[in-house]
This record gives sequence, structure tokens and C-alpha cells, in this order.
Amino acid sequence: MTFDLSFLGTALWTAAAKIPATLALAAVPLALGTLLGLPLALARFFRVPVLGKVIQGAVTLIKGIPVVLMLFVFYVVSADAFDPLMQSLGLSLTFRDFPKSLIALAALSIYAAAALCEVFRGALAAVPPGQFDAAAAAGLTRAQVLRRIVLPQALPVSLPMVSNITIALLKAAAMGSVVAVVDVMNAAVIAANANYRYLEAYVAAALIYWGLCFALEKAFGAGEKVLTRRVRRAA
Amino acid sequence: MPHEPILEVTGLRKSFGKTPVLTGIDLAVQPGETVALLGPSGSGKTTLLRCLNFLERADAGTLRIEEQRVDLRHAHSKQILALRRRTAMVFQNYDLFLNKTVLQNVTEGLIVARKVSKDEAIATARDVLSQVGLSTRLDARPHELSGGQQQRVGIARALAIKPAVLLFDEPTSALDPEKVQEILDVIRAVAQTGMTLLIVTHKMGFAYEVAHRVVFMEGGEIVEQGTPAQVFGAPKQERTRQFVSRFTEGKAPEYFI
Repeated sequence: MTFDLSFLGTALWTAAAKIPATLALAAVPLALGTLLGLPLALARFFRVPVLGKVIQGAVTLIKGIPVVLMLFVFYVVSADAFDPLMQSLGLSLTFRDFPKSLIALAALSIYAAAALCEVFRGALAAVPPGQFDAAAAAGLTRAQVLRRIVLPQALPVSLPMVSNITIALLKAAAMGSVVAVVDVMNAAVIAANANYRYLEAYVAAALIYWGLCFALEKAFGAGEKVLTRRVRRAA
Repeated sequence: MPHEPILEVTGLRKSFGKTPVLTGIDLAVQPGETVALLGPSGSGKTTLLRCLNFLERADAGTLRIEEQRVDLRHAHSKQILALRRRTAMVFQNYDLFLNKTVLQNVTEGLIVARKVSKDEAIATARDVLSQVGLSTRLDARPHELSGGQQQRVGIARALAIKPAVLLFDEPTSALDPEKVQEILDVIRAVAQTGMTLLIVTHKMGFAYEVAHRVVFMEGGEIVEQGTPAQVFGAPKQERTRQFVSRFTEGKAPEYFI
């Protein structure tokens, strides 16, 4: 078996066209996960009665499920529920019209929210307790304490872990193929289906993922530098 | 004293779990008075101070500062906020806002909590920072300052808001011996401006010289209080005598003729 360099080029080109899809499958869950994960982390950090425990349980539950399993469950549930729901709404849409990428986005977002909740909780715990005391003693409201003093110190601490989660999301997006979502990985495989040159297709996908992850790591590293320059622990 | 106390706390109780920490504290502080809280570690001095601005929630008692009176156990967040804005606190570990410059550390409580205009806040901040001898490091970050400098900023931050009562929680405990005197001098100067100070300290010499009144605490209660000359020179309680003896021994000839 020879390695077909020209097909590698073709596969690279085909798969690269789906970079925006892969980026969206990482970026949207990252954004939604942050939006959800931060309040959840705050509720846990401040030990809000009942809610804190519920969140703790839910996070443990979600962390214990493979993402691919969550994708299957979401797929099956939405496949069962979509047609009856549309009928009852009087719409002539079927599950065929349902954008499957929503399933991938939902599953990845839930995974991201659980992971980010833990990350932000850890970052909040890294802020010295005296910062909370001093800000409260200065007469700031709890929201002001968080917005002006605590979060600007906690978020830079969380960045390396957020970077890790983003990269994990980017790669987890490849699992979207199980619910028929076409991203970089899936596009490469589809290209190879025509001539069975899967190795070339896989290498092409790997090259693209390497490039994306490398760029992401650099970007987060730069962001971390900017943010931590201002907030360094006092000696 | 002829004045109505500016701060008055009655029946303050506090436990951590099943461990009682404060077992019924009554204390009144007059306007312009400097009160030193002395006592061995674990006597509840710091907890008392932290209950006064709700950094700890007391189990019982009432607190009045100026004209605002609250129930320490049941005060709700609005009351707590209003009460906190009548006090300021200087911390043992300085606890400067690590994400702010020296100037911003001082203006934060003015601009954000008290809605003072930015220009006015900066003018006040420059004023108090020069008062503590730090007018040249306005744009420095806390990590660029020495411990002594950080504590000066801590004091400036507290002075800026012109609190009814200024609370000091062992302000020199984290400093090296050389810097201790420097900070004590700053606090002495503040006391002389007529501000009301409540100071938790282990520096008995300082308490003797600067405080108008010394309050000796042990086991979660006030054992004895009086002028420094009374408490150090002629303590009524045996426990107080033991505690202050380490300070007065050998010094008695100079101090108590």
C-alpha cells in the first residue's frame, strides 16, 4: 500500500472547508458552558443551600457519562419527540428537517458547563479569602465584590484549564459524526469513502487538528499573559 | 465622658459550631477614643472585631454605630451594607486588592461603594496616601510593595472613607520588627487626628502609649478594662496581672513611679 500524497492534499482541502463547523462546535459550547458554568460554580462556591448540593450531584453525574453516549441519548430522545411535537404545534416538519448539529451543540454544552463549573470553582478558591473580606469591609455589595475584585483575580487563574477544555471540546466535536454532523474529521472520512484511502484522510484530519490546537494554545497563552500581568500575588 | 458612645455593642455572643468564642460582650466606644483590645490568642478579640462589620455573623446581640442600630443575628443585607459603610478595617495581612493599583485600592470604596465622583475620590486618595507617606507609589501594584508599604496603603484605604470607627485587626503582626514601629507611628498619628479607633493588638507598649482605654479579653469575655495606667499599673483581676506582667516586669520603674 502506498501513501497517496495527492489524495492527502485533496483530503486536507475537503476537511479544511469544515474548520468553521469544528470551531463552532467548540466555541458555542464554550460560550454556553461559561454562561452556565460560572453561576453554577458561584452557587457551589458560596454553598447555596440545596442548590449547591443539587449542582454538585448533577456535575458528578455528567462527568461520569461519555460524551458520545450523551450524543446518542439526545439523538434518540429528540428523534422520538420531534415529530409528535411538531404535529401538536401544527407544523409539517419532520425529524429529517431537524438540524442535527443542535444535538451535538447541546450535548457538548452540557459537558462544557459541568467541566467549567469545576474549573471556576477551583479558580474562586484560589482567590485569597482576605480579598473577599477586604472588599466587603470596604462597603462593596456582593455583586461588586465579585465583579470588581474576585472575578478579575479568579478568571486568569482559570485560563489554562479553560484552554484545556476548549481543546477537548474541539476534539470531542469529531464525535458529532455519530449524529450525522459533518466537521473536519467527518469531512475527511467522507472524502475517503470514495477511494478507501482512509490513512491519508486521517492524516489530513490530524494535521488540521494539530494546527487548530496549536493556534488555540498560543492564543490562550497570550491571553493569560495579558490578564496575569496585572494580578500577581503579593509577596 | 460626656458624649454619647459612637459605637455600642451589647450582649454579643458567637460560637463556631459548638465552641463558644464570645460569651456576651458589652462594649461602648466614645467618639475620638482609641481603644486597644488585648488578650491571649483565642480570646476572641479578632472575632469581636469581625462581628462589628459582619465579616462574622454573631449569634446574638445588638450593635449601634452612630444612629444606626441593628440586631447582630438578624440584620439583613441592606442594613449590613449601610453599617459596613460606617466602618473601615485594616487587616493583619493587609489584604490589598491584588488586581488594583495603590491609588485604585484607596478610591475603590469611595467610587464604588459611596458613589463619590472620580475626581473627588482621587483627590482624597492622594491626600490620605501622602498622610501615610506613600505619595510616590500611586501606580504600583500590591506585589511591588514591601509589607510595611502595603500596610500603609491598607491604612490609607481605611482613612479615605472617613469612617465613624476605624477597626484594626493586629495591624503589625505580619510585619518584620523593623517595620512594626513604622506602622505604629502611622497609627499613632491617625489616633491624634481625633478619629475613633478600635485596635486589636499584641503590642502592649503601643497600647500603653496610644490607647485611651485598654480592654483585656480572655475566654470570650471582657475580663477588665480601664485606662492604660489602671490596667497595666494596677490590674484588678489576677488574670490581667499575669498577662500584663510580661510587659510591666522590668519596665515598671520607668512607667509606674
